[in-house]
Amino acid sequence: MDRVTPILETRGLEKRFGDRFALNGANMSVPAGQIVGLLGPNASGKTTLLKTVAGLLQPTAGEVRYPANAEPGPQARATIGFCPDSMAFPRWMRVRDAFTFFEEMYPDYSKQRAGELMRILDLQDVLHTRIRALSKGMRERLVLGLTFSRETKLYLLDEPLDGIDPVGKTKVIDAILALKPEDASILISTHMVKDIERIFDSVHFLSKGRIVFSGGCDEMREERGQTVEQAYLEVFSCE
Amino acid sequence: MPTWERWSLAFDDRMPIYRQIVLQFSRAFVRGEIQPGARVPSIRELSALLKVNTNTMQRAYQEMERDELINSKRGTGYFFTEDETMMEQTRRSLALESLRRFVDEMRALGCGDKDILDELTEYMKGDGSRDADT
Repeated sequence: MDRVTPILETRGLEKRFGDRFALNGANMSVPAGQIVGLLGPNASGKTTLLKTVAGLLQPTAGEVRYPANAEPGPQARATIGFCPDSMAFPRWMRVRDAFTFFEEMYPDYSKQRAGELMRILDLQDVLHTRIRALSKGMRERLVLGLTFSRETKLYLLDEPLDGIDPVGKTKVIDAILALKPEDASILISTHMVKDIERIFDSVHFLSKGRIVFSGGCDEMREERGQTVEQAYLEVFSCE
Repeated sequence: MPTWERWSLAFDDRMPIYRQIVLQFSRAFVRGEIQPGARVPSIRELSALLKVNTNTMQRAYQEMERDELINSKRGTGYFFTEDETMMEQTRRSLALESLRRFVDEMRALGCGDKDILDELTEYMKGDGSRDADT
């Protein structure tokens, strides 16, 4: 595949909590326009990596770069659409309020996109429902809707399939494909490789805070005659 | 036109997805489900229908353009080839691919060239004959 300028790069990224290394020299990149999978078992450092990239955590060593962005630093980070594993909403908040909150919070919020997203994600009928009354799958769709209502170049999704039933998973995956702006990149962390491997352009395998394998998905299938899941199991089953 | 939505159900994650798309196109063409010169859906349309990444679809279209199975007319989209000889050519290359797989597997079972031919002849007379098909 053509080499594309990365929109995000990490170099020797290290994050230590006390004497435990959550990230131990992670090198990875996300090419512009691609959907990239960050794959690894629980406690491999996926969330720490995403949070560090989003600027929510300060790395102990190493650096995060945004080569495609003219203005590095906080400015570049402010434009990243980070979708955490679980978003905390106040008890009183209804679906509509969450969108209003995002509109006030983020300058890159697009009202037009938000309207479109509510339609695609079937959120229109629950606009006046309290968020805590939503099912887990519906809640995940709301969080995706909020994340993608911002118009930006890089979205980070942390475990978007966690705890969702199979039908809900398909809906979330379809939504991710439908919501992705053409030139934007999405980095998705997950351990549910089989469910979602079809939508990835490339993947990084994260093990104990280090990237142990990176590659294009169709290249992996071509060269090894293996699914991404099979390659994943091969790498992680001997841990 | 083929029922595009059905294609996605047939994906096998062990084979590059862009190649599976090309293969599905080739088969539909050979079966006459796609007429020569017919308009092909846009990359965006078809990736939405098949639920694949637009980059993957783009790669499939690039491959088909290179093989001259489809061509893009500036500003109006993609069209299937009008060259009717392409159909025969595509049929032959699909048939060759099947044969190659068949022969590889027979050899892996330890069959020599003559065994393979004999087995095939025998099979075509018996289980594989058109009469046995019902």
